[in-house]
Amino acid sequence: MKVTLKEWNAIATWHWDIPEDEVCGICRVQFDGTCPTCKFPGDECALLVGTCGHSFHMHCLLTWINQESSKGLCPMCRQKFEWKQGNE
Amino acid sequence: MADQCSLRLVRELAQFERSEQLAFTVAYDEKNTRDIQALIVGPPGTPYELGFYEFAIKIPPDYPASPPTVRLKTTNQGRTRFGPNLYASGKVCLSILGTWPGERGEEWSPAQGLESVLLSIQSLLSSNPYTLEPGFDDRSDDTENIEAYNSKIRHENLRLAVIDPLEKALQFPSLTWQPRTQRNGQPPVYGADSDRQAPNQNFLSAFGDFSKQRFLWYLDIYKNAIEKGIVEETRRHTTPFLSMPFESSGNGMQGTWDYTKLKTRLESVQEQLMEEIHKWPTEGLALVKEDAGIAVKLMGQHEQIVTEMKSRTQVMDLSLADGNPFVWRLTYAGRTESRLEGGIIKIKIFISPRHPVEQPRVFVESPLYHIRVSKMGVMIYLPARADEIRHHIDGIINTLENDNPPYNPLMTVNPEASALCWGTEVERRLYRRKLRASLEES
Amino acid sequence: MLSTVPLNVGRRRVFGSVFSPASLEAPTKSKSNSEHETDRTPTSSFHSSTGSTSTFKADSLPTSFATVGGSTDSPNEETLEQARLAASEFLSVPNLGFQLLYDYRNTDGSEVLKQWNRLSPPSKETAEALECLLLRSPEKQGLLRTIVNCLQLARRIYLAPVVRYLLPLIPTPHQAGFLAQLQRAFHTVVSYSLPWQQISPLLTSEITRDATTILGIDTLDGDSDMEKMSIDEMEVDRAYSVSYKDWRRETTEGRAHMMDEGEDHRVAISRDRLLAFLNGLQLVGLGAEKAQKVFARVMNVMMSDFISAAYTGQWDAPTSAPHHLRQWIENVFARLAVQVLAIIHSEQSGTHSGALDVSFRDVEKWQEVGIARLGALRVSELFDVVVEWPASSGAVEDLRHFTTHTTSRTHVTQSFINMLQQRLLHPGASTVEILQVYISIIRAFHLLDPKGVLLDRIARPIRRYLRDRDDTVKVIVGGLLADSTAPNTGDTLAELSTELTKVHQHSMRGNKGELDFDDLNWVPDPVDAAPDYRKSKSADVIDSLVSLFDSKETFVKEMQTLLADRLIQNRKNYDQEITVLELLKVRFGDSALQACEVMLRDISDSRRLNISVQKQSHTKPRSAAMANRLVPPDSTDLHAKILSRFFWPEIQEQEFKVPKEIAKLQESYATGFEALKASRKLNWRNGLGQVTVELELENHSFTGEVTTWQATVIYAFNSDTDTDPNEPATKSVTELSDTLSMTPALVRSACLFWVSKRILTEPHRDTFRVLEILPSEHEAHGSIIAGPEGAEDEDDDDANAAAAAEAAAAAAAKESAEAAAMEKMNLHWQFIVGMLTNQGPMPLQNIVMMLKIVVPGGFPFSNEELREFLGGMVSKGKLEVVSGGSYKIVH
Repeated sequence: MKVTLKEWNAIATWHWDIPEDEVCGICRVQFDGTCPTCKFPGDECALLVGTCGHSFHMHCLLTWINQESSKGLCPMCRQKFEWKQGNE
Repeated sequence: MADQCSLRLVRELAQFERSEQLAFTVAYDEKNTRDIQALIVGPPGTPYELGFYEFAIKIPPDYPASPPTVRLKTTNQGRTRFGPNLYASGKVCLSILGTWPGERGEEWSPAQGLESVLLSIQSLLSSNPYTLEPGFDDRSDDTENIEAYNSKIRHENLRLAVIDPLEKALQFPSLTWQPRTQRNGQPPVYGADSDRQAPNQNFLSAFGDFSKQRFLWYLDIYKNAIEKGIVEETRRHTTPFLSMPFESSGNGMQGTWDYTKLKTRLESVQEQLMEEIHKWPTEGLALVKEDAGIAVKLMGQHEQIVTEMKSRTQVMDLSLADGNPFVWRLTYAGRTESRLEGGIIKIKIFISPRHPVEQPRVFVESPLYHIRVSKMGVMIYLPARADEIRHHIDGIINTLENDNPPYNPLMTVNPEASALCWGTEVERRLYRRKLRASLEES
Repeated sequence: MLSTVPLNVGRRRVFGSVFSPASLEAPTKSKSNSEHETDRTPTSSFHSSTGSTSTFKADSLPTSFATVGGSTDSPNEETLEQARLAASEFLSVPNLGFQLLYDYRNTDGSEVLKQWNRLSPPSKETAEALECLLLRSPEKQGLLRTIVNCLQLARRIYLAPVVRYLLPLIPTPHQAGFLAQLQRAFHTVVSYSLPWQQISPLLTSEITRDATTILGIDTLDGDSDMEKMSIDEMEVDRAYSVSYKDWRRETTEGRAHMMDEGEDHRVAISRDRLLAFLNGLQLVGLGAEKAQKVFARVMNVMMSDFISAAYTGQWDAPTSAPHHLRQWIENVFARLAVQVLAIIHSEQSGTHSGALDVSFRDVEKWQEVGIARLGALRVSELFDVVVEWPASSGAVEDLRHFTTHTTSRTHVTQSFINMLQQRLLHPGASTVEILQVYISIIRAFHLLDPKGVLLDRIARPIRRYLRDRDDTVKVIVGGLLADSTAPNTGDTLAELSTELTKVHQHSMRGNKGELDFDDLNWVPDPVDAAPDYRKSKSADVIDSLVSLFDSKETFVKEMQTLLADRLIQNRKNYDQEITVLELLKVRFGDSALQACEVMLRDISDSRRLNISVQKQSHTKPRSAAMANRLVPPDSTDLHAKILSRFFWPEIQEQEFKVPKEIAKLQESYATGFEALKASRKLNWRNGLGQVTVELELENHSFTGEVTTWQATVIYAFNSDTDTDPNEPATKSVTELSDTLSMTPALVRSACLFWVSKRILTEPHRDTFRVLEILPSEHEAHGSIIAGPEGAEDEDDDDANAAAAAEAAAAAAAKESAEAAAMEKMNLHWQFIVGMLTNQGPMPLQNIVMMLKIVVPGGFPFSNEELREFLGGMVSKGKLEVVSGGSYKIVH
């Protein structure tokens, strides 16, 4: 018998490839969900991964970083927040 | 962004509702989650022991990017500074709130939240507040000042954070958290602080019933503290408080030691509280006549629980006292091979006509020497949900049947029994013996 | 003799059932107050009085009674005649004159009785004749008529000499009084000899017979309608008709004409006959008030009969039934009443003749009564009216005339709720049916009572009931997503999707919330509104259904689940889902349906992503050379749907290893994905998805879409791999389970699927072999169930058969091993599910019986096979066995 798989319609789920923590420390929503300002996860609601190892929804972090009082620090570890190069 | 703010708040508040901790509680209006009232129970073993410290928390629109603003409301109308960081004006000096310059790791960040704020504040109610004053953190050898400071805080804790709030709660009709103006339209007597926008809102506590319930739980401890004060502070009786180096006239803690007066006031509060409880059945009966919703509901709940009990083999009996759905009698027979074996424990549950805004009061009528039962028979238990009596009954039974409860100072209502129960092997045996003896008496 | 079975008993029963509390207003038919008439069953008083009267009658009017009833046919004319003669002879009093009595006046009477032949017992024949007459005498149709005729003659005999000879001797002024006196005397004799209890039923049936014709009721009787109509079309001279149906077809003039002058010959005869008869009745003294009462009662019944005959099931809109009814009452009903009452007037009113006995106000009153009865009829029909909605809106219009009082409104709702409980809210009705009726109710009651109070009351029990049904949400959501253009199959509520579109079209105009202060037409809520009644916005069906549930979360969740099922399927477009979602968003707000929106976005994004990923892998083929070389030239098309996991419902799936080639494709797809979507990774959900496979075997082939696991299993049998092409690939379940990391149950299920497709066989339990050559001689056997078939395979040695039989038995009990049988049984399974859902639990016998009826060409399985199959469904948790061994659907 010769079996030919003509077409394979697969289903997959995606998830952010981040080291730790499921939940954004700022909005407390799962990373694979959306930050409070977004409606669609993924492209529209990107993540920022800090060199310190902490990740946040981009919008959440930007709100914080734009604040003078943040002094550009990571909300979790209070080191200077710099996002890893290579990720937008 | 407001949306972001409220979404996160909803998550945090939901978390509060789920948590079972007794040390603090919050109240808020569903319509405006950004005005939150919080109450922290002073940690046992500190001068603030079991005092009710109320805070008004305002959430800024850009929360969690900015910290909430927190004001202490328990300030004796702006006259008493309860600690180096708890100003008479209500200001709470805390680096996490941005009201005090702190080190890098102590500042506000969106990673912080309501719970961490309340925990930080709780840590201000410490066993040695003297050393919390900047520059005094290494002054632990100032024993005289420290002793005097703790002593006056202890006194004022009882006076302003226990008796005062209770007197207020008794004086004014029971409140849900929603503020009301007085009926005669006169400005309220209390809390007319000029720096607050809504004075009406401030003297009314969202925690009236909460405080009353706790007061009954902890009554023995308050009494002990007062007795101890009378004995130990005889030399200071009617003398004015000593001023601390960091206190100023407008921002300090002035007053006089007078435990005897506290004792009288405490006893009066207790009396009034009991009176209030004993009015519930009468009020309830009136509601039964009116066929009011609450009366019907309680009747229904009672019937349902009784039917359910029949299907299970419960070692208890439940009835309404004189058919009044506002007073339930629970008779519990200790299970064989349990610590309560042979004991017949009679429990009376008073239910408020305003249930569940006012929580039931549970009294053990049989003599029962038990860590969860105070000398006057008040039982401490935690219902899974406060609105249905079934959960209260379950909570009571669980409390009775739990032979190895975890130690929790905030659940200590019978200090003597607790000391034995979690003491040495000999003491533990003594506790069990006393428990047995009380059961045999019943 | 007077044994009467009242003609109208049947009608009365009909009337009684229609007659409802709301129309209790006593239907007064004439001036005489019929209420005083004790309503007795005509037969009840018969036996008690027979004896005494019969003697008198036999004595005084022997001839009239001897001939009475002779006209009818049964039971046997001759026998009866003889019996009558014998009885008369026995009973008749010899005319020996008064003198005899006078002579014997001082004796004890025995001598007289002897003289009169009164002491000897009747002969046997006579006794039989008496018995025959008393017990078996048939109903005499024209009995009363005959009596009246005879009495008229008697009257003439009585009065003739007086009028002819005596009257001229009396001074003129006294003549009238003299005559009246005699007249009264005669009347007294008559009414004494004919007790009213017995006359009244006879009169009733007499009047009823003619009135039925005169009022046109006899032409209305249901079944003859069609016939009549066809006759109508053919004959130019239309028969007289008061039929509502015919009337509706007429022009306004034609309508009036129908009522006024349409009277045909038959009716005219009836009318003349009745009036003549009543004339006689009046003359002999049986008329007047007593007769009026009887007439009133008959007319009362007639009206109800007419209404139910004319309007039952006549629900077309716009309704003219009330109009028609008014016309009928005025022109036909009242006409008869006037004519009759003019004849059987009471003595006094007879003196001032010319005064009309029926006033205009009476007619109006009758019309009101008629309208009320029409309402009562509609109330009793309401359930069917609702079921037939919207074809029945005319009936609801009729009802509107009726529901103007609070009491009648309460009556409508009460009786309707009772009907609902009886006919709808029970386990026998499917949720779809109930919802369908509920939708009709919403619409019908919206027309009936735009304020919604009645609907509010009626809807409560339905809503309560629906909330308890576990599949309610599913049906509603399913209905919303249904294809509204597809023919209605009865198991989906496709109407909802139509409704959704419709409502959307004249969309959301002026949704001004609870109180609209600019509304000048505002009126307060009706007094009988429930305290928690709140006016619903128009007849919004979807709103009503959606609000069945406490929170829209339940609804949205179900929507999500159903949507997920549909989106995962392989389809060209999801336009309908998108439309439905858009419509629901208008209703629920965007945020509630956010997850659904994300789901749809995932699917459309995936489509774009597929193109980008494919393009990417084509533009840099060198880098993916390794992967490409492994994939055969006629490579598989891999399409992927990439889901955002938090926005989809939990998806049940089985884990296993897909074929290497597919894994490679997935890998390169994932690489492509990661290149496009920074920092994101994929998790393949291999249990989900569809595969198109093409199988080429020696003498047959297969192409079709199967599940991923079925494809994976069959791919393992591919001869490409490493087996000898001459030897058909054979694999055991364990082997497959190990290599594919698939649970044995799933492997077996997949294999059985392929067995059912005649691709594999199961020579031994849990061992499967490719069926390269389809054995043509076995074609006839089919492949009903894997096991038995295996037993009949080529080398049918005993061990094999035993193993196969055992396998079949085990297969039935084993979870998910039913796939093969399922394929064949699937059609029947749907039947069974439908049946058990609609009719509740059923024992095996009934299921078999039903299947034999419904399956075209007969149900091909034995009871045992079905039992086994149902047993499998029980172990799968789809069915459960309840009391009495009945099977019940598990929700």
